[in-house]
Amino acid sequence: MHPSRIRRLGRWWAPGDVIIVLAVVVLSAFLIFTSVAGAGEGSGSKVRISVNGREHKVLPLEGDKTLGVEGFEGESLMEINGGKVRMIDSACPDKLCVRTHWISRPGESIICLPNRVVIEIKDGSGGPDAINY
Amino acid sequence: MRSIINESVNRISPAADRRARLVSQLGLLVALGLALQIIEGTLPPILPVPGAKLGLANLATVIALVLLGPWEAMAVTILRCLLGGLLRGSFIGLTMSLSAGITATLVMDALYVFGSPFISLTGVSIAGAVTHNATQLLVAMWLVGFPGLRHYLPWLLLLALPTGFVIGIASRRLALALGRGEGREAAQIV
Repeated sequence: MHPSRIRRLGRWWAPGDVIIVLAVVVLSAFLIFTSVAGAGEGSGSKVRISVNGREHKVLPLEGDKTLGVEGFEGESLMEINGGKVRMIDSACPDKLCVRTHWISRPGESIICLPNRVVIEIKDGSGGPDAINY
Repeated sequence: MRSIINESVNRISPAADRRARLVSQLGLLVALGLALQIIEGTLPPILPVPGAKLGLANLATVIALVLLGPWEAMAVTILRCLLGGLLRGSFIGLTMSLSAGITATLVMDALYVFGSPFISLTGVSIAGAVTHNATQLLVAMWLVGFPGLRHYLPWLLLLALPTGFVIGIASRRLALALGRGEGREAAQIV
């Protein structure tokens, strides 16, 4: 390595690093704020299930039932119980959707990327909500 | 024996010698990145979100950026992503890692080359990790066609701060150690 390359390394931190970190923190805080504002309070009343980006089924968020959906890699098995929904089993390798556990608030979602299955909780009002972009 | 080696080395032109050095160094760094990527793939994910990982393979790119240069760093990233994609055999995985790798390396190159005295290698690595995670999530949103993933974006950005920091510190130490091994002049400066 040429000596100039080592000199260029300098110290382990510099003032610019702090600016980068602060910018990321501010941006994240803003995004969290808008995301929480969009999620809404209370409990949702509908479950929307999408496969591969297309709406597959919209179900009322009530009663006690299990439902299988054919995804990209196999079947995803979900359960609706007492105003909540969760993924019981999925054909994906990582099972991250199963580990997401129960969701119930409007705007919450379970996303299975490998199987391309998305479960979303929707507000009952039906119309497009103002903060949705 | 020694004289034979010296003779054969002397017969190579300086330009050819530099090329041979570059090819071997690039090959080493690509292999390092690939090995780290595979090791990381065997570890359990930190968060149930695409893109949430330590980014060990980025070490190879940062080392290439310091020791060789911005173009070489880009070459290491692209080769590592292509080979990693072939090994995993997943087209979606390849698309996501290649797009995120390229944007992250572009940002790191620019910050390292133009921001040098004001931004350290730590800051460069943090910015790279943030860019990587953001790109990966945006590509995932585009592939799945679902905007709900955006709720993960701020957490992924925050997660990139500690991971980028760790990788930045590690690459600095590694670069210093590797540089020290290469020549006495370099060692004296450090």
